[in-house]
Amino acid sequence: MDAVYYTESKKTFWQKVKEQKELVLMIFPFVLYVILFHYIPLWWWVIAFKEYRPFQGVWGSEWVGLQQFKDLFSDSGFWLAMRNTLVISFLKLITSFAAAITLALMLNEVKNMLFKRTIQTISYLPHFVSWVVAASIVISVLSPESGILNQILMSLKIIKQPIVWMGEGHYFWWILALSNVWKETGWNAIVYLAAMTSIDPELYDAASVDGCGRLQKIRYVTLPGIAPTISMLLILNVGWLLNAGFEQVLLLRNPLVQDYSQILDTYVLDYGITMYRYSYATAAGMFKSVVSIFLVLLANKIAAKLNASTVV
Amino acid sequence: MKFVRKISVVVALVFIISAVLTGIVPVSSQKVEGASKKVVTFTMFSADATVQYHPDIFSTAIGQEITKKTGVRLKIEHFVGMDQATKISLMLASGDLPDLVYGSGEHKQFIQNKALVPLDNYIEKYGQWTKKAYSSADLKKLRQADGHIYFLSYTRGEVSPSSMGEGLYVMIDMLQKNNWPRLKYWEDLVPMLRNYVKKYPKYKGMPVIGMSAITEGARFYVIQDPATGLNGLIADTVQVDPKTYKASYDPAGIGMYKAYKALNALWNEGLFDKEAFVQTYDQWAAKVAQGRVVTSWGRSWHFNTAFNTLRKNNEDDRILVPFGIVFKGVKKSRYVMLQSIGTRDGVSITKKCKDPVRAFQFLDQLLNPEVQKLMFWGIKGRDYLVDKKGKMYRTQAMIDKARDPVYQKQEGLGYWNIYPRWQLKLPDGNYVKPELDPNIAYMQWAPAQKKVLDAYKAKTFVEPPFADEPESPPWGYAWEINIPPEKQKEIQVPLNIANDLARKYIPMLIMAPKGKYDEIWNKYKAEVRAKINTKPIEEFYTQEMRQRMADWYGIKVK
Repeated sequence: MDAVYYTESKKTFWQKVKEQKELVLMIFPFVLYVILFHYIPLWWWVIAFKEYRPFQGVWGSEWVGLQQFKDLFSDSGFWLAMRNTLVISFLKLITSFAAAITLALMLNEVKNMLFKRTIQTISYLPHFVSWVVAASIVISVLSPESGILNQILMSLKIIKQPIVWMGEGHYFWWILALSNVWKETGWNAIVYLAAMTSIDPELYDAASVDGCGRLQKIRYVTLPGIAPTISMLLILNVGWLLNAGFEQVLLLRNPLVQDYSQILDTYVLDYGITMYRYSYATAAGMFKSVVSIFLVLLANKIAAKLNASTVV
Repeated sequence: MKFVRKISVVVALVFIISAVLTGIVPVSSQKVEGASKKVVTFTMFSADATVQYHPDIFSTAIGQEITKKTGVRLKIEHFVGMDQATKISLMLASGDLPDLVYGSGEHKQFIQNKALVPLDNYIEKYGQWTKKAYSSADLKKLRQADGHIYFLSYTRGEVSPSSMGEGLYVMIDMLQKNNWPRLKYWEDLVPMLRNYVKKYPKYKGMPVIGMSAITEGARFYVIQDPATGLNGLIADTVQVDPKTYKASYDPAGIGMYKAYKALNALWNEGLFDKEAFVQTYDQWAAKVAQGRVVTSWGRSWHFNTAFNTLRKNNEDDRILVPFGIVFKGVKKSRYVMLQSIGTRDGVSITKKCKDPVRAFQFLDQLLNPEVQKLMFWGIKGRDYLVDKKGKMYRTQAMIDKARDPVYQKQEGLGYWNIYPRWQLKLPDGNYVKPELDPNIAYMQWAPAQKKVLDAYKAKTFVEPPFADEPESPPWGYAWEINIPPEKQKEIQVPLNIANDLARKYIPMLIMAPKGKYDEIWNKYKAEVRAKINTKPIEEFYTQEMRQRMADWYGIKVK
């Protein structure tokens, strides 16, 4: 081993490092990874304040100050994308939370293990299907002529004419939310099921003694038991609020629902990257990140106020 | 415990070393072939997503022959998907370029971002075949705005007799049942379509669709074709006055009102595909392949697979053929547009190329007639024969074999379209490509398609009655023009907004309930007028067109 040179004042620090050198070595690659792939790229944010041209390089490109942001905020298309992003995200957040918690609660009540496992496996399988496949399933199920949904509704005499589900903006928002529920509920429920197993069985016994029925047990034991998990996941998800599901929207959108399907990510793609406006795209992305950080901090504050567990 | 500690140190070290190494040491892309040291391997990127691509074209029989003749092997990465712009945009931003590049519709971005090596000097010094295959007038047209040549175009301004043609595609079965009518006017087509669908509402138990169209994603331009096509205009970004070369641009312009009103009438009669705006491209193609689409908007290349399926199933009378349908009163249809010497794209050498001279010599050697025959005709004796006079020909068996995708893949036939080539004929008088030979072109059609040609006494689908004289404006096309980065905001952004508005309103117009059409149209027009300033766009294109006329032909307009 080479000699390590250090000054007198840092001695204790280096001693500590030496004591824990295995741990330090083990964490080192991950720190390196975070620096390389998560912090160094941030440097590229500088092009949001420039008019970046690849052949001029980052430093050769002209400084334009806040021009890109001015353009961004004065574009009605951007605000439309913002609205859609928020609406879609909220719908998805609420529906997926409700569905996952409900499924977990219901599965938790099932006593037949074989049945429970089967349902669980079936429900989380769609999670492993990529959106490319999932989107074409959704499109063909909802297709007006050959789609199974329209055929069922028609044969039940609920509707007379097939409905063009994919052609109406407000339907489209719900289609995004519900197809997301179909795909992710089983997967999301796993966390809650895990949380439920850690609830002390004595609590249920105590509740029985106190005369609680099934629903009351859920209400007074299970739900409070997973409350910390719920609030933590909520905070984490709020950070993703401006990510309304790029792949899903990109694959499901069509010209009829354009005004409802343009989200921030597709906006960055359509009006930034595909038009070779790198700086504009970066400015939009930067705005998104900053707002997301703000949202997480806000959600965390609220959670702390409500005396639940926090993340940051 | 000590053992565990040691192990953990080792594991950690392995982690660090591998992380550092993969991060720092560049992976060499320039592999030298072990066996034949002389062969140079170049990397290439091709953004052409419209054709089927070959996983490794230089491993095929033809590819190996070409390597033998040129000493070069290409390792080609193909673009898959639909969004070329995204891929190329990211490629340029990262600066991670291959040796050679073909950017297809986005090729201009490579030029604009100064990522390419100018070829002018190379042509002068090493271009022995280039100078023979490309005339000085050709090279003049290939000069870009900065005065340099960056690629040798493969579009050479021929009308291929094997072309499927362009226009509104009409099912052969309907033509036959109507005794081969000469279709030219929309007003004649509609009653015929109405009667046909009424008489034959189902095909194999599935409903017959009067008219369909592709509207998905980047292929949305197909449903913009009726506006130009039916009104006898060229489907280009701007319309150019042939006398003054003045460009005019109007996203809610002249022809649109009438065209979409006509489609709207079809919609309200139930003749237009109810799923037209929610279906994917594949769903559309499936319908065509099921033989239940009577007429459809689409470009020739969109129909290929569907027609092949119909042909394979012996339902070739359900194939569609194109007609240059226009409104009554329009003199000439302008669906078939000639790509004269292309100013848009071709294979280029990037500034990252390790040996640009060698790369150019390769492109030049591809123009050697021997190599050209290999690329387009295949291997002598197997893919073509030569008669006593030296004329190359194919037997019917060879033509059928050459159409078979499995054989194509194994032989390497039909994958060489983007490389530089001669115009129409080689110096020895043979056609450059078999498809350019009228006899071979005729022989490759399905029986029903031949029947159509015979019935109309035509040799090809790009001549009357299917199409008028192909359009070939001397100033080329506006879509080929590079919009300089500093004008992006002024020109490209409004063009995109206009396109988005069209995307939103064209479906609404076509699907408008009875009596609501004008209301929607007025809304559309108002929004276009409010959001788009057409003046800088018109000025920019006018200036570009006039510049071209001056550069190419010395014609100056004040």
